[in-house]
Amino acid sequence: MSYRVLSREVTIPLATLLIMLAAWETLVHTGVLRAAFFPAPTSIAHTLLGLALSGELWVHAGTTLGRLVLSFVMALIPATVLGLAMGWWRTVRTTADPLVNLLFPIPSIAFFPVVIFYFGLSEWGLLLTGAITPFLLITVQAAAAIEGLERTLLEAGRNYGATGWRLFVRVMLPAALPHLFIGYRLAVGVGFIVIVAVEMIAAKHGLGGYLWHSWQILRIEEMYVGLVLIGLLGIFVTYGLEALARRLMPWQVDLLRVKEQR
Amino acid sequence: MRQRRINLRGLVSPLAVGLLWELLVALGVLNANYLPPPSQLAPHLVALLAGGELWRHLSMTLYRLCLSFAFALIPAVLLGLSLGMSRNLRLALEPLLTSLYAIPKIALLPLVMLVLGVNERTLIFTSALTSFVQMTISTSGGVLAIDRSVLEAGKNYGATGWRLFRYVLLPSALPDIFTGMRIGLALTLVLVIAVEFTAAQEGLGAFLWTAGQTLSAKNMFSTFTVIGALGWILSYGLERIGNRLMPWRQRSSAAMFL
Repeated sequence: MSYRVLSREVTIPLATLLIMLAAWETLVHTGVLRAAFFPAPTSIAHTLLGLALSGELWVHAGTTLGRLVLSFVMALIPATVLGLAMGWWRTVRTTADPLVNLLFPIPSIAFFPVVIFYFGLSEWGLLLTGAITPFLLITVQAAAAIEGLERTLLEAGRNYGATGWRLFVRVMLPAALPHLFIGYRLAVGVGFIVIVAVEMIAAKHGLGGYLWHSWQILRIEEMYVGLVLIGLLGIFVTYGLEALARRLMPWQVDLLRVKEQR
Repeated sequence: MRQRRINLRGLVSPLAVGLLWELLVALGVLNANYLPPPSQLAPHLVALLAGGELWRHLSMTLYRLCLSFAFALIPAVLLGLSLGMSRNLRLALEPLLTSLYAIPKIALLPLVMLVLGVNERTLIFTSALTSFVQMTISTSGGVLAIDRSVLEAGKNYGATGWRLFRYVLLPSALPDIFTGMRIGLALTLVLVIAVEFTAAQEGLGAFLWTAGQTLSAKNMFSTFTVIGALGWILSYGLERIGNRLMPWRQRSSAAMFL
């Protein structure tokens, strides 16, 4: 039974991870690595535990997570509607496509000074900055999802009597859903990068702000704790959502996996 | 012929937005000090470029981008190819690479500053790391995605060792290496600009940030335009070059421009 579980896929990564942590720990204790720069994993874990128990950590993690969710929703709803409309109506596409394509390649973070120029350094400015590139990305992906549907699929749907709204909801949407989800996942990833960056630049709260602040006052263990939490959130955003997609859309596993490699 | 018609139609809506902008400013609905219309922005941008100030910042940003990319390229491709070919190596480095991939690289900046100090080297190192991780993962993904039958065919025709690598593996993985380069550069540009906002005196990010803080809308939009153009060249330009150089690659969808 346990034979399968202990395959190389599990043992090798686990072993290297443990070896790296053990080596780090030993090098610190023998004085090769300076504890001021690279505190031992155990002391980072200790600090993390303390901060988690005092509740301070949850405030920052919750703030960042809340911002990520809010800015994502701000992007998600209008972008999906616009993108699907672009895929469905030619006129919408020819009007919106050039504008979206014009804005899309602009580095996401460059919108930040422009946004705070108009909105000030407010929570809204932060959220809006985090929403812009995800909005553009989801729009492009949703439009491409509808446009890329196989003609045979639509023909089959029509032959079975689906037209208009029914064709859209029953045939096109399920077929386009995995592509939409790829867009959503990439968008959360981009939004996460922007939000952490913006927090580091300009926010007191949130993991980015916490990380930056603990560096400035040279609380090195706390800086590492911030880093670990940002990493965990990043891992969830990058890999957790993909696992979720596999669960929700088992009929499109291959597609999701192929795209993942890009 | 058909291509040309689509291109012309693509100009309609941006032009309409520009005209509407001009009109609203002329009617006094929008304040030109806050939203300078294209007719005022274009001369300002030209003047800034002619005066050399914007060039200085642009060349600083480009220098940072290119230098960090140059440091990252060869190690990333070599490591990526090795990861693609050796399952054990892939498994061994998996924890490190997946965490590095998932973490926004800007979050590593304080740690790098702690070790290397607050200087140019820190920025270059963090930027290089951004490109490196992206290119490594794309390259190994490219090797892994190679159809086994292609490899078998190559072997059956007598290609082994270096020849197999040069004529089968590398051409098959090249499109993915190129995609990794493009995405890596785009992510690095985001990082460089973000760092320049607060931690540098020169560079497009620094100039954009100062313009926003001093409420100079014209400077701000001009710099924004230049940064946008840079982003454009990095994504669409490189994509076209890639398609030209590697006709055998599949065209990637628009959403893969990050």
